[in-house]
Amino acid sequence: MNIIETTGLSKSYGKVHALNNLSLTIRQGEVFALLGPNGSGKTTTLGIILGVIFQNNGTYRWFEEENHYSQRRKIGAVLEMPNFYPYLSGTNNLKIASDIKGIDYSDIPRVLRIVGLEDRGKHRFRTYSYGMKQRLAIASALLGNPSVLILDEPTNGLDPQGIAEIRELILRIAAEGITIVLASHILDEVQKVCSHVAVLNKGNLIFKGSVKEMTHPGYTLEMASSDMTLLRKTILEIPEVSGIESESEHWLVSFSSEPDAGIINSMLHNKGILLNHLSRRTKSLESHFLDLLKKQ
Amino acid sequence: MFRLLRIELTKSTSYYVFWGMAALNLMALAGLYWGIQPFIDDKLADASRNSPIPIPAISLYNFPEIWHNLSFMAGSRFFLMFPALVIILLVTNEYSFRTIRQNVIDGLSRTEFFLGKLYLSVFIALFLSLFLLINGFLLGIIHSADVSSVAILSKIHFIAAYFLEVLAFCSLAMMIGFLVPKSIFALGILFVYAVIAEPIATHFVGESYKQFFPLYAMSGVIDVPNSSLMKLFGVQFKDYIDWALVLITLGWTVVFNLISLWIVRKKNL
Repeated sequence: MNIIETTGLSKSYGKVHALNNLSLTIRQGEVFALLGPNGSGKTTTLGIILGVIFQNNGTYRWFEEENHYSQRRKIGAVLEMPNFYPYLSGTNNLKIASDIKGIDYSDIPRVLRIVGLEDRGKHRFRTYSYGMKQRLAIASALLGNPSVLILDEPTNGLDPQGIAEIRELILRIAAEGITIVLASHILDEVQKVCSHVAVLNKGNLIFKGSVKEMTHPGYTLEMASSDMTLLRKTILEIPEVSGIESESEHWLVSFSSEPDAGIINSMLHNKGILLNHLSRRTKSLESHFLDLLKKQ
Repeated sequence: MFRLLRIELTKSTSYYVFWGMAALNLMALAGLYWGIQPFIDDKLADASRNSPIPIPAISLYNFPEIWHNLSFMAGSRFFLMFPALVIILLVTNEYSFRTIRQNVIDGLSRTEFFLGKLYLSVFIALFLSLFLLINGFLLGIIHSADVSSVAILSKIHFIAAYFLEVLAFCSLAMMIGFLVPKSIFALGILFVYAVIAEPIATHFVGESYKQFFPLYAMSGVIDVPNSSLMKLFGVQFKDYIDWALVLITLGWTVVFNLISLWIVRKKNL
């Protein structure tokens, strides 16, 4: 089932195009990342599909149904900062969210336990550390076991231990089959947590697909031997080779199909060339991401 | 309706400004209801000593005039400022904490959000009216010569007029809160409008147009009570509720609330 489907969403603030013609589909069970630098349109996208920002153009549909505000009661979402009443206790803040979603208060201790705030529920939100505020926001999103969880930069401003805890939590929730949409500018986070990704830059969608596809190693080998000129000449005789370039101590050889390093090695060996360096080039998500941004 | 009101009341549970203002408001009103007669008695005693003609004593607590006397004083702009201030803060807080955004994300419709605030205003106005009813009833029972049910009930509809005044003023405050979501500016605008701008404006327009100004109409719904002292000076005030002004006040209340609703539905959050 499609959880959310957007067609041609656009939003501009005066002359600034915050979002251009975005069409996306997120399916049930995906851990979907909206990846992009700050100001790329991630929060605008989430704001539109959550009904707090009005788009200039395009449509969106939740759960393959007609739009209705009550659909959002099945969605657990936190946008940007954790937004709560500072003078109310954590528990009272969650009571308000429960009343809005039509959920029994008995779910509050459960979600507080999940995020490790069971001892602080009675304290005022104002007294919480930033990490605790973030965790209360996630607790609020988890109320009533939503079928979709939307998290906007959930690890922003957390210390390394807090980041690790939140990621652990996200993976645990994803394992239960809840669809997760995660907006982030942290590549490492996306690589570790997500199954699918859409990359946004300046409001434009520049890549969508699975994280595996994006981090695909590519068909590139690094090679070096004592006689680099002979090596180059020999390599170019291989029909699958589509390109070769020099990079510091070795040749960077691109293939048109996935190369088998073993076969290539033995072939070169038969021609009397002994390789002193042979390595498969894996492209990190980061270099892919930077490539994508450069292409813009 | 009760769900939305419950959400609003939960929001106010440990908001010290809400409870502080409520306590101040009720203490000030109780002081007014119970203290005004001794105060006037004192003043009249002083005045009589220097007066060539005897000044008749005034009793404010006689049924049925007590309803007119108390609702007139409680409906003065000073006392209406208490609930209006609370309403403005509760509205502007939702913007500064961005909780209006989270409420909508959690699945409240924008109309429901507005209705919650409207129900809270109605709740506050009802509560203050009930407070007036209880205090007025006790004072009347203690001091009034005539405690027949006819005397008690004949002017009790002044409480309904007081309810309308509170609701109208809160609706104006709420609209300003939605228009200008910065609390300090919203409070400033309400104050300047209510205390300076409208009084000046009504001073310069013709008599027949004055009544169309919202606060002028509102204050005219319950006119100055006709005490024997006033009669002495030959001034005649309306000792009844002016239904034309009630209609104008109601109209403005509807307009204020429609504008609030329109803003909530149109603005990005």
